[in-house]
Amino acid sequence: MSKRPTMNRTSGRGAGRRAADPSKQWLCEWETTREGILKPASNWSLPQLERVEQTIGQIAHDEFRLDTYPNQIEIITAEQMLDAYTSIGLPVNYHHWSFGKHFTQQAKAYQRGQMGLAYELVINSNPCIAYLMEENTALMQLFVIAHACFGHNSFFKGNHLFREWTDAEAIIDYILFARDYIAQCEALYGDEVETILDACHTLQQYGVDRYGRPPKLSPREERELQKERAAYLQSQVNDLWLHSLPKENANERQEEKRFPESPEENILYFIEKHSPSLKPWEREIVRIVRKISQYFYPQSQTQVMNEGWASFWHYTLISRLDELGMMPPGYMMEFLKNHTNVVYQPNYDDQWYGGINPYYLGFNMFRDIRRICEHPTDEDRKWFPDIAGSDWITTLQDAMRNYKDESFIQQFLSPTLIRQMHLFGLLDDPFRNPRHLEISAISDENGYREIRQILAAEHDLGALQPTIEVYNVDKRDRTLTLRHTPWNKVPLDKASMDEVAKHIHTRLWGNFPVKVESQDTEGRTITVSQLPSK
Amino acid sequence: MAIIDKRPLGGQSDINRDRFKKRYKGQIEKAVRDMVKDGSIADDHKGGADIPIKGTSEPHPRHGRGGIHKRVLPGNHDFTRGDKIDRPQGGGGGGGSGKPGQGPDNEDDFLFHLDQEEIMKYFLDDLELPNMAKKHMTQDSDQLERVNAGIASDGPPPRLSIPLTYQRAYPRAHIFGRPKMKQELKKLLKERQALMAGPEETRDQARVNELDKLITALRRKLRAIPFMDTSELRYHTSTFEPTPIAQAVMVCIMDVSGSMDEERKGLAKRFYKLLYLFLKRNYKKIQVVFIRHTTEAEEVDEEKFFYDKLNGGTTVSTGLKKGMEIIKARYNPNEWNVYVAQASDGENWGSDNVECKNALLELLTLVQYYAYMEVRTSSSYYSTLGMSDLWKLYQTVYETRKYAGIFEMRKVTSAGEIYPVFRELFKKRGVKE
Repeated sequence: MSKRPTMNRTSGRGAGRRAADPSKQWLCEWETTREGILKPASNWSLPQLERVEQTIGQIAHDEFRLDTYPNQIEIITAEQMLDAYTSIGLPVNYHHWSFGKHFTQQAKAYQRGQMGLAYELVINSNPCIAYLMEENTALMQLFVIAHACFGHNSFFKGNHLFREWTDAEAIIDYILFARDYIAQCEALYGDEVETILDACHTLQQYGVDRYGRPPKLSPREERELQKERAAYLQSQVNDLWLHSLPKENANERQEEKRFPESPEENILYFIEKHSPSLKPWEREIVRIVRKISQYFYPQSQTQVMNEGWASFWHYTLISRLDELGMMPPGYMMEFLKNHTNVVYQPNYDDQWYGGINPYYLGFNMFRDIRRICEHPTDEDRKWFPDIAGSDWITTLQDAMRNYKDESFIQQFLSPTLIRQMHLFGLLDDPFRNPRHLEISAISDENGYREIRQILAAEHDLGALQPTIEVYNVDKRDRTLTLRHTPWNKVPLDKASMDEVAKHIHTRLWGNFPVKVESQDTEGRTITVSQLPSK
Repeated sequence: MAIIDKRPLGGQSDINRDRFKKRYKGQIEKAVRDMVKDGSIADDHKGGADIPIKGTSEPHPRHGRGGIHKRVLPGNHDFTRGDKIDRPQGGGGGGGSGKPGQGPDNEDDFLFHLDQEEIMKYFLDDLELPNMAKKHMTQDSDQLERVNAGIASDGPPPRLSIPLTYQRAYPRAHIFGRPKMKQELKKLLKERQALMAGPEETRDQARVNELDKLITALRRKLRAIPFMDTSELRYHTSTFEPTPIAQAVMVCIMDVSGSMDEERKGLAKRFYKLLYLFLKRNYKKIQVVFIRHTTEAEEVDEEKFFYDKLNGGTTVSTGLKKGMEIIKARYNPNEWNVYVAQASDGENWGSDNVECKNALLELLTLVQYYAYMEVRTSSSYYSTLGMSDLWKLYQTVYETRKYAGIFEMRKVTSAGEIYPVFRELFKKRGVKE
């Protein structure tokens, strides 16, 4: 891309608060209203978006030291946005009926005005692809470029979870490989492909290695090695099961080593490697589903941080533009209105309350960290001796790089912010107190730590989804036992687990028995689902 | 960095949507056909319809109800530590982490929206005019047809879509309180008018001045909220596409004599409506000729054919001859695919039978397909006898098997039978029902 020769950037860094080119044409076209007033146009053009990206990029990189992937901005229509949303945010995902179902649902909600669409969608890839809606006004495009192309983008590049667990270089190619592979399978095996995808989707959340780094994705090798892998896997599987013909004689069973020796959290991985019935191409599809899950895993762990970081930067960058006198009149109001909408947090007793808004929490936490760095109080010095008074950009970058939601809240939620949000802890313990809920902490000296603790725990993966692991495979009758470990004595939902077990039993585990165990509130092992049912 | 305009590529969702339709084809088809059983489809379902689909849930393991929950909530007013709150009705434990989307699974109620076009597709799927391929298919690629190419935010004024634009403009205006303000303005104006109507001496001038002020302020406010904003404008766009053209004509011959009472005419008209709908949808270039007859036949337009009332005796041959005349004059059978659909209650003047048979035989040499539908109702004279004069007459032609695949005849006795009979008459050959 050629450099824009005429862009006025004299007002950039170093130039202080000198007024920019009064026409401020870098950002917008101008139009004369019917009343003869000159005002910034609400339309935008492609060259103008380019100027916006470059202007913000200059400030973001040079002044605030944001490290980003190069941007690739794509303009899309509302329909395309719905599209992208419903194929879990991937523009080139494989085809499946469930995506069509979600599309229909959301399109209906959107057409009836029950739901707004995101202004943008951004993909963790290199270059970083950001989808911008064509319906956005010029200001919204500026907003979204600051938010996505610099906020999210730098988060993807910097945060350790994304660095370790996803491969921005290869993801788009991998998805393309996956789509082609699945399309080929469909041509060969027809509807069987759909049933295996259905089955895999039920375990989507359980196709993730949480504690070990997965190998890098490499689509080219992926294709080359795929055949080899298929043959090898099959031979391994055969070997295992050939020496373990099913026997019905359960009484003769003796205590023996479990398989796997320690529980396996990545259920799809286990199925891919050890299912007694899958064909090689089916194993490959299981692998594709879990690879894609793995790619999305960091997002669920960093929602507060990611959105907070992006919101902090759109706010900071656009405020900086305004300080430099580069924001056209009227734009700032529209910006503040939109910004306020994004980070709005209703109170717990408000009719619009739907949990704590991650944008709000994240945005305020990053702002608060900056405040602690720049203007620490005595309380801050006591709570945050390491960062109070330090360089805020370095500290913020450090926070962004090395934490996930749970640890971020644990580390950085300050008493100031707890007071500002009037947070309080609510304990619902039906075992101790069946008739009442109890206020366990409020924003006072005795409550700060507990509130921080609880809020952090709420963002732990165990709170978001039940913990289920592969516990054992009986080598005689091939029973697959999954074990649920309750979180705070919360039981497993039986109805949905039964459905999932059915999929595993009939499609992934070759009609051999499948059992799901859990613990009751006394800690005794109970059976939740069992197939075939006795 | 790079900027790419992806808009011209359009959505990719159709494939996934098609997958969905394929997966639930049985349910959707059944629902659509139930919906339009009596053939009254022509006027209904303009805006499409929601079809309930069962079994679309996508199960995932999730937390059940119960257990201990510790939560942090914002916006404390006056709670202090240790306060007890009554457990809300409906059980405390639900919701797990408080994350939205963990509520009970409502997927059994999933409603799939089909637009009218899609309904028609399911409804008229697998139907075709038989024997079409034998004749002229003018693959004239110079022939361009204007086809819809969706919606754009820019375009010439005549192509402005007012509904779509208004759909965007209205919520904005509403949010800014435009309708409310207009109401308010109306109220103020009315009040002012009422005041001004009274004699000048007793008039509350202070109030009038106050009203004037309010009205001016309100008008200024209203001016600031545009009725429509440029960014909300939506236009239809279109492109030109070459189209292959099959020349075909459908001749509809309907008996409207006195013996066809309203009920029977109703049935016949429903049949023709279906036919007309089917032709218009599947064969855009087709010509349709409407002929009605009593003791004499006339060619009428669509409007008259469906909605005009007429009574008289019955001479079927006049209808057939009229059809033949028109075909010979305007639709050379060497160049045109000719189809005839005849509906009658089966009554005919006995003296006409010979002539009628001759006319039918001659017509059969000209046409690709001839469908005869006999309408009978419980009050019909022939419903007890089993066979009408015309049916017997036609049967002699049918049984020669000379016109197998060209000549078909069916009976209809109630509205519910029209659609199945229609499908039988026009189903794709080689497709099992």
